[in-house]
Amino acid sequence: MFDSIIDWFMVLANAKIVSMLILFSTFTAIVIYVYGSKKRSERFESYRNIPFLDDDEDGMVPMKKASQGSSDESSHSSSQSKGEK
Amino acid sequence: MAHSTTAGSVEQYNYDIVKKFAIMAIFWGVAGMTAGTYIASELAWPFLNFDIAQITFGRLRPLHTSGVIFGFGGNALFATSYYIVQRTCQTRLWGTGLANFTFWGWNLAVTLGGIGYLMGITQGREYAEPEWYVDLIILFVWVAYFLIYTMTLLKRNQPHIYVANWFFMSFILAVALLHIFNNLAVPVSFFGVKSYSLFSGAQDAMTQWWYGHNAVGFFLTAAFLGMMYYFVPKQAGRPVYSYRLSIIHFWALSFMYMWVGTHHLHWTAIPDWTSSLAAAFSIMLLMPSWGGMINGIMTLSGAWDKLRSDPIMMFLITSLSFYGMSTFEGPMMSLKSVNALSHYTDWTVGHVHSGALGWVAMVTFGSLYHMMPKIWNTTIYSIRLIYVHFFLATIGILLYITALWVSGIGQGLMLRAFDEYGNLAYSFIETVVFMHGPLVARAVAGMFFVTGMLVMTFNIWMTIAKRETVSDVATSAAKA
Repeated sequence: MFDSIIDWFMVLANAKIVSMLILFSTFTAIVIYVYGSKKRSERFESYRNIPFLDDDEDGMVPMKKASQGSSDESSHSSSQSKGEK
Repeated sequence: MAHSTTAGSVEQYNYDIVKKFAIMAIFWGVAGMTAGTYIASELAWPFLNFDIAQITFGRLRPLHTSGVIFGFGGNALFATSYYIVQRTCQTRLWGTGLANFTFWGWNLAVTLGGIGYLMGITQGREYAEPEWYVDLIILFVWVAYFLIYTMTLLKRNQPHIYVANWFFMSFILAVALLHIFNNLAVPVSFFGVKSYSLFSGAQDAMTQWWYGHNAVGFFLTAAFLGMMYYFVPKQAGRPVYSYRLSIIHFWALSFMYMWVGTHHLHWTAIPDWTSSLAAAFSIMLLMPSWGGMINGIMTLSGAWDKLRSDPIMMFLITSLSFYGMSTFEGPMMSLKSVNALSHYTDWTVGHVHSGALGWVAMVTFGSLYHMMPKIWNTTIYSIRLIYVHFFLATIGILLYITALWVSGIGQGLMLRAFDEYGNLAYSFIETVVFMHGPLVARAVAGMFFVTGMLVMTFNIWMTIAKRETVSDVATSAAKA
């Protein structure tokens, strides 16, 4: 029984069905993951605002802040994004 | 803004590279679209060949397609992706020197490829015409692009990677895969330009159209959707309609596009099941495509008045409408029965242009009008000229696709019509005579579109010039 199942998978012509099953089930899992939880849905929808998070800076930071290095920038941006959410 | 010499501030983002790519996008847009209009005119008025081999349709056509796809579209994608990844990750672009290498390398490749076509140097593979030496330049540039994008994402200050960057990353990865495998070839000699493909016969055709349609899917669709998912919300001033739908849109496109290339080879020597599989996946693609279109258009929900008052929004929403229309027409044409009529006719050319002009060019125009004043820290020179550009472009596209529907469907019907004895009802030259009128209309449509592109060039030129004037005044005032 088990051998015959393995043999079926070994036939190259069955690769179409196998790949379809793998891809379709993966895609279904993604859909369930994205829409399946209310809490997760809220988290995903909060990401919609990312393009608007740096509107104030518009590409510029004060000289002093820029020279402080990336760690300061990181904390600034993180707090900014948390504030939005 | 955007000058390290401005008192008290420095650039957080690398806008220099964005500016370079954006300017070159406009340059190649004018060059590529002018070449397209010229060859469209050659079909309508053949004397324009002037018996000069270098400017005949066969040699100028790849110059047109490479100019608009890789020159205009490619430079616009580099510009907007470098802009978007910095703004959404809130970090500076990684690898300034490497980014400059992508700029010079990419434009060198497009230029060398174009010169080659005029000299008759081509692989004869549609949208992959450049010979091996240009393919190698593109390969190095693409690896650098991947490295820059990945490293910038890794050093992001925003915890989540915004969905536009997903589309850009899938575009970078898929194009790398397509470019490498479709261009596997053996050069005849190290100092010669000619090479031969590793594939042959039906396998060669399937590899080429696996590349060809995925170039449409990942270069001309996924990447420009990345552009759409950033610039439509920014211009509308409101977030994208549904972030979850954008995730499903991304994965559905990624799963399905790779299977559909063989619909370019219906009724040929390839295995019939590959043809049916491609048609089935093409039909399924309608769902994610329309999901994405609805997501983009509904972003404007509650601010529909912008469609009357904001010409940039008009560009963006019209582009989404054409995206919806061409992603309906494409699956329909992939059905074997419809394809029997449409293939090898002008209908296919019209379909390609409703996607290329209506979707790709329009979303690019809208995005550049939004982005370019921002990176030069100024406002657009003339809103009125954007309206003029929009209407010239829209009239041009509508005339173009209508003319080629008439030409293509008529051509298809005539080519397969039989008389009562089972002989072909029309000779080939009769189809050419029938098509002449629509081909004239198509050439005129191209002139409309190029005129709009020239209006944009003037508007952007004046926008940058105005900014320099303002800057000079500010500098003089500061000195005083």
